Amino acid sequence: MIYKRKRSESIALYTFLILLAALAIVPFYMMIINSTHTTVEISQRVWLTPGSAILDNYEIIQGKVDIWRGFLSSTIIAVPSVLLSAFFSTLTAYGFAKFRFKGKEAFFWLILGTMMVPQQLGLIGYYDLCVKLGLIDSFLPLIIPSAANAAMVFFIRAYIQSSIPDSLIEAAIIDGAGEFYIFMRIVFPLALPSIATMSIFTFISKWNDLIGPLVLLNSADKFPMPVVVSNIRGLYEMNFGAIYLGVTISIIPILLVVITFSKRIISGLTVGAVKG
Amino acid sequence: MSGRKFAFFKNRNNKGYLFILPFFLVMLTFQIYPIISTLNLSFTAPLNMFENKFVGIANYERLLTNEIFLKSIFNTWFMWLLGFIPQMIFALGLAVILYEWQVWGKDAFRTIFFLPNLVTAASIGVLFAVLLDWQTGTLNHVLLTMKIIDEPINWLSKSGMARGSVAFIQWWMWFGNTAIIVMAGLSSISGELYEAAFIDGAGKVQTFFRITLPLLRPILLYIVITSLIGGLQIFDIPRVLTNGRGAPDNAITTMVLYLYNQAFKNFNIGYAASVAYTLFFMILFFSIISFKLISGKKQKGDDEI
Amino acid sequence: MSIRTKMMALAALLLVTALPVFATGGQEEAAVSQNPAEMSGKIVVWSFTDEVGGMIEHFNQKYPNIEVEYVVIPNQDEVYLNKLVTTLRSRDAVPDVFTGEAAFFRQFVEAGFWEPISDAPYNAEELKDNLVPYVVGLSRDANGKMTALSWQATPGAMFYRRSIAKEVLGTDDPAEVSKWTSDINKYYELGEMIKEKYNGEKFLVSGYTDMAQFIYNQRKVPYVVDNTLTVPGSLIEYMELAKDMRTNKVEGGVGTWSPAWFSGMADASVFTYILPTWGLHYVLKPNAEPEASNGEKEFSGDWGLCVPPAAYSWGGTYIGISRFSEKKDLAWAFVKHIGSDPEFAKYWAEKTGDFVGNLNVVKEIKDDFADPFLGGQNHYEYFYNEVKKIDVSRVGPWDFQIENAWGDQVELYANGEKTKQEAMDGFVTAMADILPDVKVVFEGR
Repeated sequence: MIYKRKRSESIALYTFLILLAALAIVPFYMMIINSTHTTVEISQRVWLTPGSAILDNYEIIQGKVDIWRGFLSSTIIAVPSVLLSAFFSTLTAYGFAKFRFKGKEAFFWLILGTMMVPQQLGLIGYYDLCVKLGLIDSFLPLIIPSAANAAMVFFIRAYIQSSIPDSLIEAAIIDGAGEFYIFMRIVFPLALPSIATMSIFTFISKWNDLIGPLVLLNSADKFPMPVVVSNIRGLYEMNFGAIYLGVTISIIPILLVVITFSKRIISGLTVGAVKG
Repeated sequence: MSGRKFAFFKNRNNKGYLFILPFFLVMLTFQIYPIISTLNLSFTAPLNMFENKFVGIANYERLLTNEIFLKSIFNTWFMWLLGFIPQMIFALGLAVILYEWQVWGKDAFRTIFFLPNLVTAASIGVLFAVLLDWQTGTLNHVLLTMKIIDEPINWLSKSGMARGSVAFIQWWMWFGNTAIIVMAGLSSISGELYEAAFIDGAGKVQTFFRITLPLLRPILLYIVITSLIGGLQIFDIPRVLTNGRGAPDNAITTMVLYLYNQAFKNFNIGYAASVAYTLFFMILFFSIISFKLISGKKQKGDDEI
Repeated sequence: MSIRTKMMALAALLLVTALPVFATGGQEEAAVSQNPAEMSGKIVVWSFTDEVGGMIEHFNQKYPNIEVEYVVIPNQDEVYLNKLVTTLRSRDAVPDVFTGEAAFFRQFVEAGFWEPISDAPYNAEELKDNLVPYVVGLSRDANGKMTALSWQATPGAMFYRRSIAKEVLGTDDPAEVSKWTSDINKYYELGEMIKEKYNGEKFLVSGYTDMAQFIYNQRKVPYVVDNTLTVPGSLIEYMELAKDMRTNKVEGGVGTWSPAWFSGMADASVFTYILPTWGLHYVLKPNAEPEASNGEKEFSGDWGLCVPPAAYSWGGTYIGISRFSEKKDLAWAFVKHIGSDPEFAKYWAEKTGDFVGNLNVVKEIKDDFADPFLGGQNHYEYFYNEVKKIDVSRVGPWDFQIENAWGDQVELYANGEKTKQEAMDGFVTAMADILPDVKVVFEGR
């Protein structure tokens, strides 16, 4: 800490932070509160205090869908996806950050390019492909492509570039370490803050993905959380309370992941400053 | 370097291919086919819901003279920038505050600011629809009670307000996320530099612009490009706020919403595919420009990318 | 590229024309010789509504060895269409049976998503005499073949709050109330009376958009004829009506299907809801009196059925066999049972109160209905008379898109965001995006 703050500055700072925190938390909080209200109550106004309908809402959910099975399916999709993308993205990012080979720039733009085609239509072609590969109604086409996560490569690459000095790797080579050993024992641990940051994002986007699983899975018992939650809404009734309860249940694992991983990020951040 | 050693280093560099190989194998297997099939579709027009005929570049010709599509380009940029600029300012500010300053409750703030990003756009949309409804919405209720307005305002029927709401929600969902990314970037800047700046008598503001910002370049580049890619594909929020209609009068119809409606409401998948490709080239073009602008003069030769 | 695409299109065309031939050829004898108990196997049924789930039990009583795997995919944000179009584009054999809604099922029919069922081995023409004629008519493809059946017919009605009627009109008798609601001018007048009586705290109707269905049903010819879209005069009048109602606060300013629209059913702030058959059972009852709908309480009987300003039909779910199904005999057993079986129709009518599509059954049961929700009124009798008025010769595949585009412009005009001319121009622009080859003209201009 280099600068000393005046008292008035401190007050201004905390006021700002607390207001912003309130803004971030209030709608989020209202969503959880809504899960304890009936549909009619919710559509009349916004609630800040809990209601008494949580059990009724849960009964509506149980009557319509098997939410815990959806929970299981989501876990089956999201966890391997995160592991795959963490490992392969770091591998690729390291390849781009610390090796100089021909066509590197072109390859890199190719990776970025895959992010630039809107996915809403890609599913039509992807479905055809999965039919050909015999992968319809399987979790695999939802998991394996995570090994090619362009955004994650982009981010980790930038992080490796600025935080892992070449000298460290050169020293390891002189000590006779193999390339894979260097990657696993030096690069991966040092890049962990960036990997953890991105893994949170990957987990959230996989956990919340609605349209991919919906199109690629056919059996109702394989549907993950977002599909199950959207099925709580009947065709003609609104069931807002039950939907919010479904959303709240589906947030719990994300919240746990965020809290666990952000500890990692924070500890990583404090020791991570390697390079000047 | 001796010749033998040079050859050795060249070899080691080529090992980079092995590191990026698995990625490209997966990409080639799973991502290229859909991308090409979309391209293929963009040259077709529907005969009915699942049969197409080849029409050459007719879809692209139609697109570039289409009033609603051109409007959707404007809307997309407008709403993205309206959300992105404050998002960037808040993210940088918060990251500096929460990473470098001594603030009580840092960890809690960090987690709280990230919360809006956890929930799907669909759930957020329903919530905001209830907040903004002009007859029964909370916002009007509060304003009426406080006597700030006499008549309920039909927020989502005013194009400016509707666009503003989308930009606000985008900002709300993403500022904490971006702040976390900036913090990760800050962690790669050494504390010694700041001390040196302090000794030289640089103020907070000067330090930020002279040291923090330039050294954050790789991360800023990441943020700008991914946000450009994501921002020009804004879709969920305008869709849930307006039931997919982009109302009022297409004021918040974005390019991807336009694409989605063409594909699954008007069943013209070929035309939608041509929107997808037009958008692709637009994003590519502006990504290259931002790349050039942000990386500026390359400092150490070739290692920027 | 071009040759490849053409080849693909050609192959697709061949496949599409050839498949039904093979398929029907293979199954002819199977369907004839089997009796229900002997048919066995598993079929997959997709629907955007969970209603079908409640029908499987009855089906299995007759066909115990056909296993039905039922998947619900609500069409919120077009995800049902997205999934179905994607699946059928790749000629997948799953699902065997799927449903389509009035808003988009004509697209299915035109695309040939459903197997034509008029001829052997299905011979659906033999069933049609018992079914509501307009439902059968709507399922016919370009060759005049039936493609799908429906368990319901969906004529429209209007539902009102008896307590408000008593306070404003001094009576809650459906015949008396209908005198005010069956004419659009009187209906409007009634709206002003309600506004005055309750100081603008209660409304005639939740939003003017609720009236759209009967207004759109007034057209005399299809919207699109010979590549020309004629906007009927009734739609242009609707603009003025909407604006008057909104400016004079005769309606509540709430959009159909919005959260506030639903809460208006429960909090007695709205006098009428304009809904068809299914709207009574699946929308109004569960949202207006949720506890009574669950059987936890008695209905208050505060609702009644009155005559809307014009007859209409709204919605309706059709069920057909996927042309790519490999188990068409089993699929047909399911479709036929749900779409025509009189025992099933009777069971369904008694279970849900929904208005079924089998006329013989309707005639048999219509006199005995007295709905406690409607204070004992017989809605079945009413719907039986309304269903005869429905004329579907004006229905086309793009009606839903056309009406939505018009509705968007009406809203802009009603809110004062656009002039009438701007709104009409806006509609022309919107249509150019949906039907680029179609010219738009306005009736009487």
